[in-house]
Amino acid sequence: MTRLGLSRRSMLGASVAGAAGALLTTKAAAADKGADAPFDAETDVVVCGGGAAGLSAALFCRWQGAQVTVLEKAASVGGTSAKAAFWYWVPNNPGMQALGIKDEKTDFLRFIARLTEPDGYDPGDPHFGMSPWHYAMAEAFYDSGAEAVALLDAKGALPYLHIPEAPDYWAELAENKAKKGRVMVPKGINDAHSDGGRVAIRNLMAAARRDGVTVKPSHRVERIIQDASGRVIGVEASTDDGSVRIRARRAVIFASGGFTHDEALRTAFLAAPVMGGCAALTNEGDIIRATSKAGAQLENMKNAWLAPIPLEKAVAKDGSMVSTFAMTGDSMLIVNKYGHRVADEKQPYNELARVFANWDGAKSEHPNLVLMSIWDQRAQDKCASPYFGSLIVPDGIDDRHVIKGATLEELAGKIGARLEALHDHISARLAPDFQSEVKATIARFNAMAAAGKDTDFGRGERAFGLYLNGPAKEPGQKNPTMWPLAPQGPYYAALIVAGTLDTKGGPKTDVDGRILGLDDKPIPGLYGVGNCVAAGSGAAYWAGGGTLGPILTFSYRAAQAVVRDSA
Amino acid sequence: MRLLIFSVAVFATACLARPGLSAPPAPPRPAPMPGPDGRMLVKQTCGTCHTLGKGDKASEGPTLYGVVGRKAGIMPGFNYSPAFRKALAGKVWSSQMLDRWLTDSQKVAPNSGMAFFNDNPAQRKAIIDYLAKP
Repeated sequence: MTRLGLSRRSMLGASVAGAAGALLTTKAAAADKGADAPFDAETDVVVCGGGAAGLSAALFCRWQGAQVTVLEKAASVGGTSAKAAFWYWVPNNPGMQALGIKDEKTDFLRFIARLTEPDGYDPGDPHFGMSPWHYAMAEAFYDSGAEAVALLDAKGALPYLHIPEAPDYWAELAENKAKKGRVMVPKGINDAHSDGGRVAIRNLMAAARRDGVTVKPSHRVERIIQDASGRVIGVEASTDDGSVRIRARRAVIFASGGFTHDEALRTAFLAAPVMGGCAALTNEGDIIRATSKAGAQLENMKNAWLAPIPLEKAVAKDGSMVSTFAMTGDSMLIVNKYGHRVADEKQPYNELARVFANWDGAKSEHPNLVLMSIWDQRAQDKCASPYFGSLIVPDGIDDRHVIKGATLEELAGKIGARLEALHDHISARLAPDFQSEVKATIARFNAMAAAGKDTDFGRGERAFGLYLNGPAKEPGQKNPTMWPLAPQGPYYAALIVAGTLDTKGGPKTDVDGRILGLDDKPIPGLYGVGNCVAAGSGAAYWAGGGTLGPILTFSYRAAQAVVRDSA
Repeated sequence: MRLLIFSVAVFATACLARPGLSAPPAPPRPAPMPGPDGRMLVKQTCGTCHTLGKGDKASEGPTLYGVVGRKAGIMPGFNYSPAFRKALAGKVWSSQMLDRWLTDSQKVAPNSGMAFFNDNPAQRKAIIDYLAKP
């Protein structure tokens, strides 16, 4: 996607050999340069990436006296974070402490084990069945999270607002001893709690400028530079005018995001049939190519922070999409190509998105590869929202994913036609009896909605579903998340597939962000924070804010390690 | 290991694209023009929040199709922040206004939704030129 910047020396080779030759020539020329060739600039710490991970790491280093340069691949900082709601989930955080909400360490680690390694979970084991690495990462998160966010707040870089009423996604699990209180958001967020990322990035950037962090947009880090001993001493980045070599006297910290937008890496590594996501478009797994020659060990590559995404937006490669965090609508249900419901529609998005990967061994297919959310005019009128990737949108908001039919028959016909039109991208077709089956499903759903109880999937019985659902739309509505679909149309549908917020696998780090080699030993001078490195949560989505809470924490720890290691 | 094989495969394919022995060699491909690629910048940076196509509706940000010369804050259905409206109501997205905006959007409209900072005049010009003529 980004044009490869050609160094001035390799321009001659490029014009003779054509594009392929240019690629090889540039790489050959770069590989020869190593530590001895001159640098174009130097600093103490190079941070690769200007999202929340990169900006916070830069600040944490700057506040300890280091000279810092942030290299941002896009034309401006922000990354995926700028689009996020930016909840950050932090155990035993300052807000909880102020309110006297207990969040004990042992209880927390047991809860994390239950989520992170459910298959080996053992409450009687000293590490609760977690691997040593998972245990160490969880412990580091608990130990440092509160300090990290307190410092960001104290420095005015990320003032927080505590949201004690936001329930944990896993509030119902017995192992969770603090079901509310861990969520923080940037102070100044809107009432819908949807624009936190913009608040966070503007605050972090303001602090970066105030405190003298250098930020260079449109610098794509492509290579690390190592000295003869293997220590990482700088990076090579491509820019509009060719490549630049920047010396890092103390450390290189990668914060370049995951590989959502590299189709080859997605296909090679991800367990789920992901077709795209709302990560920054610059998130193409650059760290993997840049650090592989240093022998970085890869971990957690099969996992991602998952959410449903509209199929049409994935196919159109609409970079502006927001993954569907809130499955809006009470007179709404989701069916597969057989016309059957497959899950509680209101469960946390990462868990809902896991059903896309269900496998039918008899038919050799993924029956839920594409799902259809179906709603009526009433839901369209009452439940439309521009926030959180709602599929039901108000006028003026992108609705390319919305299919409309005057009747259920017409809707089914149009769904089939839409799938047919997209057959280059997805093989799914409606089952021949989809129409009759979906009618039966709706009839069954309507009866359950009238009674207020989803006996198939428990919709509306979990705190998360109720919290994002908002208040009941009808007087006397027994289950705020359910209402019968109308007997008459029009009806609406949206096709959804597996998507990401971003991937969460990459080079493995220790508890202080040091990137490890295949021997589990740190590669000197090389650190990583955020979605570009392996998350300590495995496949689990611990809670809303379970992405950024750990990211800010490990950013803090990495900065401390950088200063200790290079003292 | 899979990644290594993949990388080797890509390079091998590139090498195999040679002309036959009897055909004259392909004319050399000119080196790409140095300088900012406005189309790429808009698609990859702006496109993370804004829709860009003719007839597109708002996404995380309002559509940028036709933005140059358009009044600020008028796209139907999009929730502009109060801070945005305060700073930009009635103003037009001229090239100069866009250039100030892309330099430091928070300076133009403090506490508004967009946090965009680019200190490279050539890049900003490339972005604005592309937006003016997509």
